[in-house]
Amino acid sequence: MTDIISSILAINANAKCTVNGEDANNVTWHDGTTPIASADILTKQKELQTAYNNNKYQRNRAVAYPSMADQLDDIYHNGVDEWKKTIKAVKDKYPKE
Amino acid sequence: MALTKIADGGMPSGSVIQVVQAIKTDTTASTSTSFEDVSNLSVNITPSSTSNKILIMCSFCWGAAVNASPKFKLAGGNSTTFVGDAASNRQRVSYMAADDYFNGATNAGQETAFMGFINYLDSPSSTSQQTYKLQAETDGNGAYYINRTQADVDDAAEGGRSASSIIVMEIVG
Repeated sequence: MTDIISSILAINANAKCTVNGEDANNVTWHDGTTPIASADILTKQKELQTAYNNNKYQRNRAVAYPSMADQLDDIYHNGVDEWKKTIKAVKDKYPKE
Repeated sequence: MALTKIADGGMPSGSVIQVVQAIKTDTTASTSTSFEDVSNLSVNITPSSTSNKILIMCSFCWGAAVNASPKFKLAGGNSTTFVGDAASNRQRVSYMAADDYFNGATNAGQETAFMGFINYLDSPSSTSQQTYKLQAETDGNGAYYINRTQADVDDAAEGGRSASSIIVMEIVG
């Protein structure tokens, strides 16, 4: 779940603030940071969460691929075509949505 | 036989005569670059004698962004003096959590939280109410978090929320 402070920083990367209780209505703004309306924060949160959800296949693939060392070893011993099969198996398991 | 109540002032030195606790079970996420109070980690205690001491025990669960440098210290009574020695440009704090500690890892840092402990025996030399609390800041390179990790994974196996506390005890001096 994309959190409130990440959503604030996505709107204003230099924002100085404190979020208590993960509540967009419970934000203290510091050092002259211009407050952001809670509705805008929640809209950005929803937008970021959608992007995150849409990239789930990428995250699944990233942890499922063999390590770089193992992939190089695979290519050395079995050739590029065999390495492609290994990679394709992961891509097929986690298709682009 | 009738029991006689011993007044607080009649207790031997080292006796605990008052205990107060505050607990924080919600989360805080902050990018503040100056020390601010951590919500719900604040206790009030009124010493009964100027010679009594206050034992402060604060334990808190913290996380941080990859490049952040969170720092923590106590406030209240004379506890602000509980910091490291001055050393050139280094900031004097009670607990310097990390600086770029998580940098270089993939997502290990974002999914890691630690316990911080700050214990201090204060001598407020006062019978006025004292407010002891935890304060925190970060360095502008990312947020610090209390009672959660940065990633705050919403999963029973990999995610969690924690609790922090501050306890103060009045000790007969």
